[in-house]
Amino acid sequence: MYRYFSSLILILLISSSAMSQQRAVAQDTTTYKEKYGLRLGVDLGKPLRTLLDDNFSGIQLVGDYRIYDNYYIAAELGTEKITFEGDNIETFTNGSYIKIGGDYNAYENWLDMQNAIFVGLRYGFSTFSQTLDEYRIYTSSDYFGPDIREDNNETTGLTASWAEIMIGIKVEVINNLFLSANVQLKRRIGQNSPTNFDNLAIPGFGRTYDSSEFGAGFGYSISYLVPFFKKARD
Amino acid sequence: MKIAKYTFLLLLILSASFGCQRDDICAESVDTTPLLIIRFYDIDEPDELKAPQNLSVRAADDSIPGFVVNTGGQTPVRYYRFSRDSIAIPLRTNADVTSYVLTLNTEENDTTATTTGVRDTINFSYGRQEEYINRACAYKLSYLGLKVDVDGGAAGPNWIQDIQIEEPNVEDQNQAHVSIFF
Repeated sequence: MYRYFSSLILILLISSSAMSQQRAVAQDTTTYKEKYGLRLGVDLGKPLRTLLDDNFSGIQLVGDYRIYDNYYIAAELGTEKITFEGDNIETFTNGSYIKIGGDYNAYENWLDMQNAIFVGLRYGFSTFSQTLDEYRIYTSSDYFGPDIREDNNETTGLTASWAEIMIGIKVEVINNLFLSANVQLKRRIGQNSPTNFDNLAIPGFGRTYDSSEFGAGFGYSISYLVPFFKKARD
Repeated sequence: MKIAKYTFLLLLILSASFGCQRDDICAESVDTTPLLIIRFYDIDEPDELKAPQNLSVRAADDSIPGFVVNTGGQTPVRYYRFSRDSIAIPLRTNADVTSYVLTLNTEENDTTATTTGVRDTINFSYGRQEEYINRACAYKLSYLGLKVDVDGGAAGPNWIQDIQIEEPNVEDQNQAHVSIFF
């Protein structure tokens, strides 16, 4: 997984250096005004995954607000239903989450463009329930045949929190309408899990791993910028 | 702008590869539900291990066909005409009692161990406690408060002279749980 992140960073470095070269060609003395405002949108990846993946359904709203220069405060709000199907266990997780943090746009636009290559930090918090649908009593001997229990034992009031770093791009496709893509690396900070069990998936965080606190994710979204005011670029 | 579009495309392809996940397979090294380990001793010299000759082990329940096969080692060991000084057998995970028929001196042509040799039935009773292992192996069971009862029929025990519980809580396979003297 880290391999993907390193290659992603490499691609962004290459592309940003290519962009800055283009910018040098276009330099002139005109000042350009930049829009400040609230950008609101919806994640496209999650409805798509809902259609394609029987074990997932979810929606997510995204938003950011430019506070100063290249700094944005940003948040995501979503709800997800995740089924985990393992060889010996099946669970169903249902809950909502919020992610709050900020983005920094590292891309210097030329002319009056408003594209972004950004790095973001988030604090994520999720509240959910988990149902243990089916599980196996694992034995090394199959003499008495498999012992598979159907339980439908639901635990409510579970919570989890995590820190997240994301890297991505935003492209203005038509006036004030943006397409965005990002990848996320997350680290769980805290969770409460059911007695004698574990959280196999967390809404907003995704599936968990037994041996580590890390998780990964991605997002594509479409959003619309509601401009509040314009300010000349420094 | 053009570059940004390409980057967007690259990100799209890149993040699609996150969909693949490694398989979660329960590793053999993980401690799962333990087998019951029985060691056999000489009744005349209780400190000496003694291998019963041509021992066959099958469940007393007729609906379970065949003999117990221990798959824990490198090659599976079938407990039919088995002549070593210890055995490891599973206990039922879905009931509080497991009954086994142990046939000593099974002859070669007795494929069901029902006509030759001497037979005793042992009833193992216990409490069961579930414990979560991980998502690959799901749950294991520990057997608590093990009790044994030898049933040799009207004539009394046929070959087992004494049976002792060494470890009433069967939680792992690190030591013998039951000793049989004959």
